[in-house]
Amino acid sequence: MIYLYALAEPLSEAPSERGVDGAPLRVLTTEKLSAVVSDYTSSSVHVEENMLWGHERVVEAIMTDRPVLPMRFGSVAPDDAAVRHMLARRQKEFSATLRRLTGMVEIGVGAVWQPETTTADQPVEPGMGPGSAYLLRRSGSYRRARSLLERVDRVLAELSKTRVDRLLKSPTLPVSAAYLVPHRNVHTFTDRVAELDAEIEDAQVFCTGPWPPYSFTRAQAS
Amino acid sequence: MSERAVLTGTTPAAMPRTGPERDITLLELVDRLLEGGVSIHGDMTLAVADIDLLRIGLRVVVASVDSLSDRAEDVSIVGGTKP
Repeated sequence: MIYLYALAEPLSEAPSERGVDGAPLRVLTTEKLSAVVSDYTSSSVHVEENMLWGHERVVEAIMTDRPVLPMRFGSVAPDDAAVRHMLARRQKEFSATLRRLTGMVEIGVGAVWQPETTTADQPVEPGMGPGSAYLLRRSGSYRRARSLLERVDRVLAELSKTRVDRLLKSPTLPVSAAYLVPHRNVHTFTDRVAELDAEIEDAQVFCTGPWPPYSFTRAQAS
Repeated sequence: MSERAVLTGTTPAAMPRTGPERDITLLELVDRLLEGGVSIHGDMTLAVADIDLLRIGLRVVVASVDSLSDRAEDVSIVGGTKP
C-alpha cells in the first residue's frame, strides 16, 4: 500500500522526515504535480496520536518552502500507478487549489467559555416545561456564540482571505473557526487574537497554527 | 480574560506536548486531519481503524479543555470525528 501525505507542484526530492510508520518518504511525480508518499505495509491505519503527528510533521516539512495541499489522514492507494492516475485525473482541480493557497497558511481561532448554568430553578416563563426551557437556553447559547464569532471576525476578516467556522461544537467551545491568512499577516493576526482575548470578558479566545491549509482544500471553497 | 492560550509562534508539530495548550492543539489536529484535507474516496481505500477508540480519547481531551473554563463537565458531544 501507498500512504499519501500531501500534493505539491513537482518536487525534485522527498523531505528527509520519516513516514507515519518509519518508512522513508518518496515522491511520485506527473507532469504538473507531485505526491509525497511512503510505502505502508498494513491494510488499515490506526488512529494514534503519534501517527497523527507523524502525518502532520511530513506536511509541515513540505510547506516550509512551497504551497501544499494536505491529504486527509489515512489516505492510501494500492500502488504508485493508482496515485499517478489520481493526480492526472484531478490535475486541474488540484493545481487551481494550489494556486489559490499560494502564500497562505491556516490559523485556527477558537473560544472557550463556561456554559450558561442551568436555570431549572428559575423558569424563564411560568409554566414552561423542561424541554422548552432547554431549547430556549440552547438558542440563547447560539445567539451568544454567533455574536462572539461576529465580534472576532470584525477584527480578523481584513487580515485574512476567507474563513470556515462552526458554532458550539461542544457547550464549552462556542467558536471553532479556521482562517486562511497570508504569510505576511500572521504576526499581526495572532497579535489581534491576543488583544481580543484581553478585551472579551466572558470567553478565552485562542489561536493555533500556522497549520497546513487542511480546511481549505476543496476546489469550490472560496 | 487572562490565562489564555495563544498558541502560535511555532508550527504545531514542534509544540511542546504538555498542558492544556497541548490538549487544544491535539483537538485541532484531529479535526483537521480526519475532516479536512484532500479526500480521495472513490478511487482509493480509506482504511482508518480505531475511530471509536479515538472518540474515547477525545472525550478525555475535551474534558480537560473544559477545565480551562473552570468547569469539569463531562462533555460527550465532539463534532467531526466521524470516519
